[in-house]
Amino acid sequence: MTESTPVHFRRIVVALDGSGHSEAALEAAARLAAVFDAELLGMYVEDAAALQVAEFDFTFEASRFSTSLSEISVSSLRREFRVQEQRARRAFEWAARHHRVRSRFDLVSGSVADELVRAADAADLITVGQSGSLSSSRHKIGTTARTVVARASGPVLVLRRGLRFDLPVVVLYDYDAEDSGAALDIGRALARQDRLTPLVVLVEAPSASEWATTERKVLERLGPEANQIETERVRCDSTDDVVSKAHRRRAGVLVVPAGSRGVQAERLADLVSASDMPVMLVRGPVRVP
Amino acid sequence: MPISPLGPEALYRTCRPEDFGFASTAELPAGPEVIGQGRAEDAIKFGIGMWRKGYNVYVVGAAGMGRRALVHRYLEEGAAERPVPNDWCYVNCFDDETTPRAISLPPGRGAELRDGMDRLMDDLGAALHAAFESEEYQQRRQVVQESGREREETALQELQERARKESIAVMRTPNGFAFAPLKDGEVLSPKDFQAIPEEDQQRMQQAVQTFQEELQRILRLLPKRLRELREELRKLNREVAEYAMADAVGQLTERFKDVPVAVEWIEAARADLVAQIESVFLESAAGEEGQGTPGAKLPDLLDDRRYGVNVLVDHAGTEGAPIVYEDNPHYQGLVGEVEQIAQMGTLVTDFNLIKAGALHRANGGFLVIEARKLLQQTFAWDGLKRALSAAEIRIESAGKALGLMATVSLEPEPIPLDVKVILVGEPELYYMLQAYDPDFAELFKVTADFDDRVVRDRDNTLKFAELLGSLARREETLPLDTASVCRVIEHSARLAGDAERLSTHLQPITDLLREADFWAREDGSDLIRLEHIQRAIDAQIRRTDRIRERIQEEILRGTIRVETSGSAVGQINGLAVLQVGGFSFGKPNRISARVWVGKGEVIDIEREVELGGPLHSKGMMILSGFLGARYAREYLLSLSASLVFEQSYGGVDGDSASSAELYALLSAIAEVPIRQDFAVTGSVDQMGRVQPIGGVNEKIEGFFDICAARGLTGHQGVLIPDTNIQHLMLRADVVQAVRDGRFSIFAVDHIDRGIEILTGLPAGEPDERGDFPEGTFNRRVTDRLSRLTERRQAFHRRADLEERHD
Repeated sequence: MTESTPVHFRRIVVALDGSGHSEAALEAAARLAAVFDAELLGMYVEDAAALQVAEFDFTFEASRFSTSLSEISVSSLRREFRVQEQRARRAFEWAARHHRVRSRFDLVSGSVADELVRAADAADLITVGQSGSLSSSRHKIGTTARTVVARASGPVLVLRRGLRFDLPVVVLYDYDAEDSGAALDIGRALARQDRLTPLVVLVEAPSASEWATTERKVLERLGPEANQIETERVRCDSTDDVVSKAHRRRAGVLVVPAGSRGVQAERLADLVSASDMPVMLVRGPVRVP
Repeated sequence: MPISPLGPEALYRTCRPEDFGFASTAELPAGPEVIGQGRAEDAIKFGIGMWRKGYNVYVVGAAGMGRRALVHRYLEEGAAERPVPNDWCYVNCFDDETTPRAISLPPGRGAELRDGMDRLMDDLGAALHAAFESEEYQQRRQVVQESGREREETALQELQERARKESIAVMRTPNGFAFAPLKDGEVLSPKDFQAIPEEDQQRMQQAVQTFQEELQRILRLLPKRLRELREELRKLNREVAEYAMADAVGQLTERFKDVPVAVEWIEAARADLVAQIESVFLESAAGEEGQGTPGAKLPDLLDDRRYGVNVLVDHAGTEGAPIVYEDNPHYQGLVGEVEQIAQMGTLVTDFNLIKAGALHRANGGFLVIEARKLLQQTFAWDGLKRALSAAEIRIESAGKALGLMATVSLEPEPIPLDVKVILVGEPELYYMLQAYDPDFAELFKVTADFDDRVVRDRDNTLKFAELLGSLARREETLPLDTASVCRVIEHSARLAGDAERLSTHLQPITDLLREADFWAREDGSDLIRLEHIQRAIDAQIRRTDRIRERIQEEILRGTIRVETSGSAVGQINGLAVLQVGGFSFGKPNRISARVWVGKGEVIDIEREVELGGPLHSKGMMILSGFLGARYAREYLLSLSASLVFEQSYGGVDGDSASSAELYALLSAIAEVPIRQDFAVTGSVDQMGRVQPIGGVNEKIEGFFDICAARGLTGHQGVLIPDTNIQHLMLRADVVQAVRDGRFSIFAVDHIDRGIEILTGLPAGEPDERGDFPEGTFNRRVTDRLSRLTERRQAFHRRADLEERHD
């Protein structure tokens, strides 16, 4: 286990597409930016592949609220992107003003996932909405979010419409995952917003006999904290166990290490859909300011 | 034959202590609440026992006659024999909340149902919370949602997969989806697309079109799928809610299994709650926005106001039928009302705010209302009639009942009405309602008529003594000794204005008792004695006789001219009764008459100036009739006469002065002086017979007081109708003066008797030709009248001659 590192987010990226999910991500990002005095970067990516499609004369658009196919052209699609971008920009500017944070809005064109991963890599945290899927499901994590979660080198916060990033912070600590220490550090940093709310750590130990040792490691890493620390045993390979314990603690955000057995990229979707709370995936060492 | 004055024994009928066998009222058994009201008592008993529509009771009688006490006694007896009526509750009508349901439950069960429902809501809160928060429910819900979603996603994913196999990609656009040709996992640009073989181009193009149409078909099915999902969730919620509620609801239903209407309503409430849960939890379960768990919405659903029981009438602990006295019978106080509360500046209401009226409380029993208070309240009488006619209590605002307002409010289900209403009121109101309200006789078929006086016989006198004993005990006064009982009985006769009757007005007697008790205690006496009663009577008079004293003072000072000596032509002392507050007193009044040649008319100056009432005018016309028929049968009555109450500036009514006016007129015609030391009262008929009048005691005392103040001469006196002798209950000082020969009271039956006393002349009887003997008073009258006729005829002759001459 590496030494504890103080966490400080300097730049937070939020992926915007004008949807309800991305608005939830925007609100969380703006709030965190205010807490950490970070720069808030809004990203709107105009999907280049979709524009290419519009050039074919045999493709039509199938839409949920229309009973027939409608023609698409590059110009009409650009207009649609512009409307979507303007909506996203307005929401972004309002949130930045509301939270009084430094901000910048970027409009880029290209592959959505690639552009977001690139932006995430240049920032300390990226927040994304879970949407993007073909289905109407509120649980299903979208392909874009899935790609960002899988490929981004830093922490990713996933939210969906209606969820609010809040306290208390619940951190999953898996003795076997190398990112557990970084997750603890971030959890501690997030919990400091309100010293009266305890920081909850769900701890997985190799065995019952080693529980005390593992817990001590956790406490040592957290060091003398202003927040009260509460720990509880958990089984990381069971999404249900993690989710039900986080629920019982009324978690406002669940921080999980990327290397944990329960949250490997393909199962993160399960966790996000089952937990019904904002989930932050922590990968790699925490960047030191 | 000269008439003798009345002896002192005729002037006051005493009550003799030796007729009673007790020393004080403390020895007497409890007496009746009232005496001599057999007719009213029978009517009340009948009315209370006769339990049919329309047989409500109107108790007729003046205040202070013990009406309420008597009614109360019979009501208590009647109520004890009747069953305790059911409780009434208002509950929500779940199909239409603006028309709350009325349900009837056995006595005491209404509150039990209310408490049971309160408890049930608490229990359901816990049970539903546990059920909807349980992992089992969450899991089942997820399964339903997943299965719905899976159908949809599987279709989409299959499509996506098939497309991919044919190198077609599904692309997301801001508004939907589009398909594009792929090569090596990358979307082809149009330029690259042109580069692939024609055959492939056509195949891909064809595939894109097929997939597009297929996707559109799938998307079109989405609303239907969502509806199916919602239906399944609804079914799940219903199942879970019914399961969670079954036990608690079952327990309550079991408790009320003997009351089908309660069971039916509990079932309705249960079904409604399930329906609420179905749809509300559906939102949180299926809605994309929904957050949190269904349990968070439970407190809103288990709303006491929606599922509560408003116990309007609770008869737990009631014995027999209820007896309700409504002292403030305003419209809403009778039929009940729907109150409103202000919420965010708006007035809102629900069935919990329905308040019972007196009719609700009295339903199944008796409602006692004072008629005067009822009629003074706007719409109250109409509201009561409507309820009694329809035999149901319909709660409406007064404005709505009149059709003046049409605001949306509640229309509570009417409650069947089975009540006996007892109106207690004065006779005037009774006769007014009888005359002007056609519904009254239909709705109040029983009249309990209280008599204001009873015969003063031995039996009633004894009952009166017992009644006094009861009053003394009730009022906690000292007991009365026998002499004081006698004095109260005599006073009661005087209040009745009749020596042979007793007044049934208990209020003045009760007041007298309290005041006598005060004086007795001042004296340190252990009994109320004669002197205490007398002192109380004197003090009552003293407190109220300021006006009488002023008037007497003005008479004695000569400002108001009343002569009590000498004689005069065409002038006489009449007697009037004035009432100030509750106090009556007599006042002598000078009446004068003047005559002259005329065409036979008697001018009533009071009537001419509209100071005379109709009865007074009637008396005057009777008097004219008598005059013409008796004295001018054979020739024209050729006089004009005027009659006036001197120094009378207020209105005059009643015919009790008609005999006095006739004496004055005859004196003026005959030019014979009348004694001024006499005062006269009595009305007269067309035959000259003198008829009885009211207030004879006050009138005699009024003249006596003036004479006594000026000094009794022994010649002064009063003429009264002989039929008024039975009413004499004169003051002790008057009786004493008569006994001493210093004052006289003559009772006459005919004008001729009076004229003889007043003029000292014989009246004279007509012979067979109708002529009166020489030297009689009546002869003088006829002589004067014939002289007047001759003059008139002479006048006419002269006038005729002058006319011809011209």
